Amino acid sequence: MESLTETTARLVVRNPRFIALVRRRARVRWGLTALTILAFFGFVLMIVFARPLLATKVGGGLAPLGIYLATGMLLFVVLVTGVYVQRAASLFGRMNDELVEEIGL
Amino acid sequence: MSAARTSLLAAALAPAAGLARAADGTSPHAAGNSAIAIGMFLAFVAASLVITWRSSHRTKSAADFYAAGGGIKPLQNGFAIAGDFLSAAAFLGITALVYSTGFDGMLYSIGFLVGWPIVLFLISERLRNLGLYTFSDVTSFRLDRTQVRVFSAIGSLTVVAFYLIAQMVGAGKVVQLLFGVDYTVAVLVVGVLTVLYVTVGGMQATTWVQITKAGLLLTGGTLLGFSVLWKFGFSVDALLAAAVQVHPKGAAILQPGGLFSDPVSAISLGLALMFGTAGLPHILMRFYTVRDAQGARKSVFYAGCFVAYFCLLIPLIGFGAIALLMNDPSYFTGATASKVTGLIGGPNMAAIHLAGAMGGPLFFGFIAAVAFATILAVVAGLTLAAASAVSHDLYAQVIARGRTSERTELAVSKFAAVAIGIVSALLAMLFENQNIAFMVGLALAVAASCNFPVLVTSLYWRGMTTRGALAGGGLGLASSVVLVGLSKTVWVAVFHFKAAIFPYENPAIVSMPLAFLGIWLFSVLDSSPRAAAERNAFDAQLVRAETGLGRPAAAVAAH
Repeated sequence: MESLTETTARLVVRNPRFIALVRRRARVRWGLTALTILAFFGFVLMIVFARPLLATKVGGGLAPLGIYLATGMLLFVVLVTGVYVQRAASLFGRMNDELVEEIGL
Repeated sequence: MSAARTSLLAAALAPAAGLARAADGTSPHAAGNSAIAIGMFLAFVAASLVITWRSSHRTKSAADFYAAGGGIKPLQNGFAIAGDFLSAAAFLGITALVYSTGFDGMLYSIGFLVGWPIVLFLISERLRNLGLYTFSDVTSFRLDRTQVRVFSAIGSLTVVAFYLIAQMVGAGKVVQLLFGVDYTVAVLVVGVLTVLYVTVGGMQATTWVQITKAGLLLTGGTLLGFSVLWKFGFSVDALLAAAVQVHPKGAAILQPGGLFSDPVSAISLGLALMFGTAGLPHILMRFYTVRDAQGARKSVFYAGCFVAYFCLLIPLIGFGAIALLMNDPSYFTGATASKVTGLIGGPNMAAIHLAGAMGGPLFFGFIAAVAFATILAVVAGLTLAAASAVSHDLYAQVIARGRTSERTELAVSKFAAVAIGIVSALLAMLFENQNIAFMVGLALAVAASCNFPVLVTSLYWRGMTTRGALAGGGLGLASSVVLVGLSKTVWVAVFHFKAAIFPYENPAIVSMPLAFLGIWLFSVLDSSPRAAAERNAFDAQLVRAETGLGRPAAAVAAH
């Protein structure tokens, strides 16, 4: 396959299917990025400013809230990456296939 | 407080830092068991050489050498990426941190993991669709081929060089400690083996060595973690109770300690950890080894799962080491030795001693061999990334201006790998007794403040121009190097001045915004015809980045 000419690119860029794909993906991509940044730096700032809270015992065991939250962060990372990969494979994959079919490249 | 943070950062990021102190006394446990450890290590070396030899038949083209012909499966690549990421610093260093400080060590492992979602969401797909072998392919896609490529290659080489020296010095120290061999011999063994993997087997061999090592590391970690849980009747509470009882800090090990105690340092370190991953050339390179963008996405997901799983094991191993080693004087340098720093071989040996305590000499030997295999594989990945920056970016695209033959380019890359191996071994010997704790921190800071800003803006911002890339990236690179130089880890620890000029250890909170600001300002002010053409070319880049249309087939269908 030859590399895309600028003319073809300009056509694809105006294609409604392409615009929809880029928009949908951007929303998921930047939304999840913001969520990850908020979660991590929120946790970091909690460590700076809310130490006593993190030291509170929860659930009757020895482990304080901080340890649960730290473990929760690990699971959160797996969860958000999983959500993105799933969305990308199902929705974006389908939108991409339809686009490629329509423009016939 | 601040001194505690320095040693924390040092211990977490460079295994060498903690081990440098420890190398004077070889552990009696280590010496007694080194025959088994060496035997297991030799088995790994033999397996890796078979892999390399078999890969050599499949490494003919440039696509094979740099990207294993794009023929690696996502699950395999996920293993390999996790392998690249789980260095000896992650395994021995973070376990040591949990052993010394408890909760703070867990925070570090989180910091190591939060970079993954960023890499997945922002970088992996577009990088895979736009580039062929290196991340400079992407930054120079619509910008000035020569200037931006040279600059990105410099960014790559800077990051890799500091990472590589830190790993090599760490390797020498760990091997000296584990197997009782001479530091120089250890460095030479690492250098010769990794250069062999890279030159003979290219990315194919490097990937499979990485997969093998990741498998061993995950197996070893699982065995360690589960044996600790089994010992405490599968009750985490019982484990924590035992650890709290024997640790000198008592219940404080379950709470935040010195790490992240002031907001500016906390955010600065957080930025470097979160965005540094997205600027590590040896990790980015791995996205070209799979068939398509979907493969790249899946490999990040798998890698994230493996790393997260390992991060769950690390506290078990660290708290287990506290609970099971601290009461036994035979693991310490003397009866009055500190329960933390007095561990034979230093806190970095916590995981390895724990293996000995749980499973005797056999398990000790296995975990020691795994630690060495870890170093070998990571050094091989770094060497390949550096060789690619030299041969693909600097030689083929800039010096020969794309008019070289594939054969010459391959020859250059192999020559570069040998040269890089020699230089890094020499530097490792030179730095043997130096305080090199700053090096990995610096590598991450440069990755976060030079490579990442240039990469992410070239991918997403139409207005980005060559001038902006060079000025902003240059600002990020220069400011991170200078500020690390003025911080405590270099200004005080290396140059022996009394007080640091820059009060924070990590420069990212200054250098990262500076890079973005520079990119924005110099791009906006750039009204040259070249800048206009570069902005115009964004459409073509966007189409290819989002859909993969137009990526040369040669790079995909090598097999």
